[in-house]
Amino acid sequence: MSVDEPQVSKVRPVGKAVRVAITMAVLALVTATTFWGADDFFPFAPFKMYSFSKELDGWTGSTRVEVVNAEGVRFSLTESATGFRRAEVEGQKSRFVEDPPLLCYIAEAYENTNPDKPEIVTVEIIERQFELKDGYQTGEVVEVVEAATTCEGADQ
Amino acid sequence: MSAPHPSPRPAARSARFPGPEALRATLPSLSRGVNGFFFTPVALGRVAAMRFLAGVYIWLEWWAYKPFIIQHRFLPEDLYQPLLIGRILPIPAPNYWIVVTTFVVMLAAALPMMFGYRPKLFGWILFVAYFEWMLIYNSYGKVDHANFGFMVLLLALCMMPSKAKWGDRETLSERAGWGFNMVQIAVVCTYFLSTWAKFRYGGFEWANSGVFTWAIIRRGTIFSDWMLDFPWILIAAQWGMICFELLTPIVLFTYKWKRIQYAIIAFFYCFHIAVFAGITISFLPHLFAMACFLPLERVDPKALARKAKAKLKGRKDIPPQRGSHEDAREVESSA
Repeated sequence: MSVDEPQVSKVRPVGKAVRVAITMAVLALVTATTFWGADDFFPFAPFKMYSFSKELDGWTGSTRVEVVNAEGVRFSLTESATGFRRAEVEGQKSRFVEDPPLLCYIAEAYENTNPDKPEIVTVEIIERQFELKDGYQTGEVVEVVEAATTCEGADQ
Repeated sequence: MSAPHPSPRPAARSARFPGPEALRATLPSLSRGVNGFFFTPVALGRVAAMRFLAGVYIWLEWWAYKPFIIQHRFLPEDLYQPLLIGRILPIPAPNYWIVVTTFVVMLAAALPMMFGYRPKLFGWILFVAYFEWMLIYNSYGKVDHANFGFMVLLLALCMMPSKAKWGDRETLSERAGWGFNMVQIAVVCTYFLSTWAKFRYGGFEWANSGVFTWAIIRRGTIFSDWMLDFPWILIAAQWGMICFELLTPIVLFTYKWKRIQYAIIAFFYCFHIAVFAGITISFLPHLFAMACFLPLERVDPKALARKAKAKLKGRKDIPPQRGSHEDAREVESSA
């Protein structure tokens, strides 16, 4: 196949001005949100992945949801068991701590995902805390129940 | 004798205030710069390749990368905490059928777009469906930041010429050049602005904090767990990351020196491989979007298939172009 002169399709000057303006607007929005915005402004949310400072001395933790079902079995809820991720639990933790009966919605999510399993009776949010000194783990571990509630069973 | 000097005052004036001649002299180079940066024409082969790759990502994401999004179909409405755009636009809270319908429309629209059938129409449908899919993903307490470049890519692809074929290196388009430039800027912003987010949320001392320690405790691997015993390595890595991210805009300005640009992009990909090996976090949509820096128009699957076929056939027939006796003897002995 012979290679002809490349054909270049050009944009008219007005079109160029519009396109440059669009790029500048997107750039301005995403830059502004980095300094003044919040996650709420998605898709123009600040790029705050791993942006928090974690102290090298003190306690650091990881959160999980533990439940007790109608048969008295206690287990941790995994993401695949409810469709509600650990990061989402952490994101909404303040709501659950202020109003623990809201935890029953997590139970409902489990029951929707697993309709043939026994219903959930108790839901707890537990944080497992590790002590750090100079960035090393000291081996000290503490478990704190941050919110707990009992649920009456799924709505009919 | 010397020519009479012009009166000194006009010369002094133009030295302090650039006159119209000076402006007219700089405008062409300014306009060349703007055109070169935003509108360097790109071959349509890259548009076809990126449409295909975007579709591949859409078909991969829902089961291999983010299987929990489809699981949000089981979540009660009360757990839905709409973002600003979800409150402004009349978007209903997701339920089982909204999630499933969005999912099906998204996958269905991706197919014709990735194979070049009415790519603009299906590109727009895909963009709207994927946007809703992202709201279904991000409205339950956690907002993800890896998708910005990919969403800009989907939007840009909608505005590029429809008749884009794989391997086309001869049809160039300034529109495509602009679209991919916008995606590239979005990719660089993801790095560069995240440093400023670190300064904002973590303070200027972010690099001296225990954030990598925390991350490895939470989700480390055999490649990273050993580093917990050497926190100074993690501090050095944190400083390294800040420097790397602050320098990323350089890649946008190396568009005239392609080898350098490709080398920098290869380095970016290596960075992500290392991060994935250490804490199993991948920015997969971002990696797909970043491919638009690369000369994908050089890839022509049909030509590759033809070459492969010709090579296989050539082993059976006597190839007319080849004059070497060795080949002929080889062919005769295998026949």
